[in-house]
Amino acid sequence: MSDTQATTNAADPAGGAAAADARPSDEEILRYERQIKAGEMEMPLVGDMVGFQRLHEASAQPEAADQGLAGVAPAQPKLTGEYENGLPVYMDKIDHLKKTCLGMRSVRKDGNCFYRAFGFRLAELVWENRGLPWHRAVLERATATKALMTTMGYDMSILEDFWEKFEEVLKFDKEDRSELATSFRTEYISDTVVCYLRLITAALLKRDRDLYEAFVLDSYPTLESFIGECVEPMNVESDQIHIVAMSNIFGIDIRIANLDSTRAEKGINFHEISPMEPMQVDQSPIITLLYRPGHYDVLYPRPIV
Amino acid sequence: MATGSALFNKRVKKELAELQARPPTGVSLKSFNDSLNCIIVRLDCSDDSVYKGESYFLRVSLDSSYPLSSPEVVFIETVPIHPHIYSNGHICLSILYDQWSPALTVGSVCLSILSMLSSCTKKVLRRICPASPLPPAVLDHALQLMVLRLLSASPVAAAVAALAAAAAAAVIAAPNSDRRMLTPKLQERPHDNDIYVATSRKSPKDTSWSFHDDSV
Repeated sequence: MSDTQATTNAADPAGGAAAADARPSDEEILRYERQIKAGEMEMPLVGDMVGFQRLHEASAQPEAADQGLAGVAPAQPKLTGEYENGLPVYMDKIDHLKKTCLGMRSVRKDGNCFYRAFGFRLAELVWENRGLPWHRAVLERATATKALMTTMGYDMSILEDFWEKFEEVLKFDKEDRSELATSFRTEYISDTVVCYLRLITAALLKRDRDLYEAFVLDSYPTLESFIGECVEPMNVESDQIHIVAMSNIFGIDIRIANLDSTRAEKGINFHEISPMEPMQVDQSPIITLLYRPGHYDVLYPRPIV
Repeated sequence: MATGSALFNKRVKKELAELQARPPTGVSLKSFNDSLNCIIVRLDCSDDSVYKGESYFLRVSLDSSYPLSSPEVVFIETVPIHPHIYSNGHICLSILYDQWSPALTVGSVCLSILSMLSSCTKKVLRRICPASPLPPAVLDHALQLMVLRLLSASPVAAAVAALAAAAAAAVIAAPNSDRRMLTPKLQERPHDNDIYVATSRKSPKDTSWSFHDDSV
């Protein structure tokens, strides 16, 4: 006999006593899920950059939306507010972030946060480095992903639109950088970029199977099942393996500040991921992200003078 | 700059053209509407499956967020009897829900459903194909086991168990020839078919699915 397929526990056709301890119905579960997600779904996909100084006051009063774009009310992440009564370890780390970073940019908590944060920061760095050798080098790497996809059996004629949107944000050339954030707040552009990054991750895992397979076979029967469950579908949270893949594809260093309860030797502990084939150009930028269990945001470290 | 709906149109047109020009074996495009959001696809089951000679129709509904979100795919008209297909046409297949990826297409999804039908072959043939009935004693035992399993599952399942028990009694009481006819029905539909069909939402995308069995 085949196993259970649908969790159908809605009405109890027998009625009566069993109903009291019956599990919630599908409808109830979905409604509850939507209710929980509703608040987060009102947050912009990508927020504005906010300085830690502005978050310093523990009172965490709602800040006036005096920055950002007309008509867009960006979420103001209130780290200090959120962690106000937290363990000293969090407060120490937040203090350290305030000293060493210019600010952060929050990303919606929808399971795509790593890819969205990475994609946004990558596009921003490409824009910041216009005219520098790294700019050309990273665009070459990005363009090479089309061939990678085709080689690994993805139909680029179907997925062309996804590449085009990604290329569009990488080639953003307006003077006003805030328009890049506007693009990433537009759902179909933002999600299309996230999707493309997910698909090239999948293609890389397949191509370099020997390298990645060992990390997933503990929990998944095959690399393909891992890809089918955890890489290609949208809204599935990323793990170390996804981050390593992004670093390797774009030849970029990724540093992740861990804002969790683990003790840090000095200030805040960073998780550093370096590509196997780094870019052979001077002044390669680094992508820095802020990690809190289950979520990634963009972090802006102070330039080292 | 292309808008979301331009993305939708471009993609769906491309898929339909591909489906018309180079359809996967056994899959054919029957019709689609002007707004491209409702596509009817015909599946012709392969000759080496238990569905030999049978054809079924799928209705593929696309909303404006396609291909970022999954298509809604259901069987219409006659619904094949299969352990992962409910009698209302809803299909239990992970890529239609949680595991949808925009790299998939209407064609590839239809092909997956067709192959789901085909891979069912051996299992059904070996266990409950009317052409090669199991010895009655084995069948009785299997039915009893199933009833026991259902009874021990959950209060909701108790209702199903009651139905199953009644059916089992009917099978056991029936002469051998009738037993062959009754048994496949009981086993080939998903075991929670009656409750699901009675209580499910109109769209299968409104169900929270859990996927346990990838053997068929």
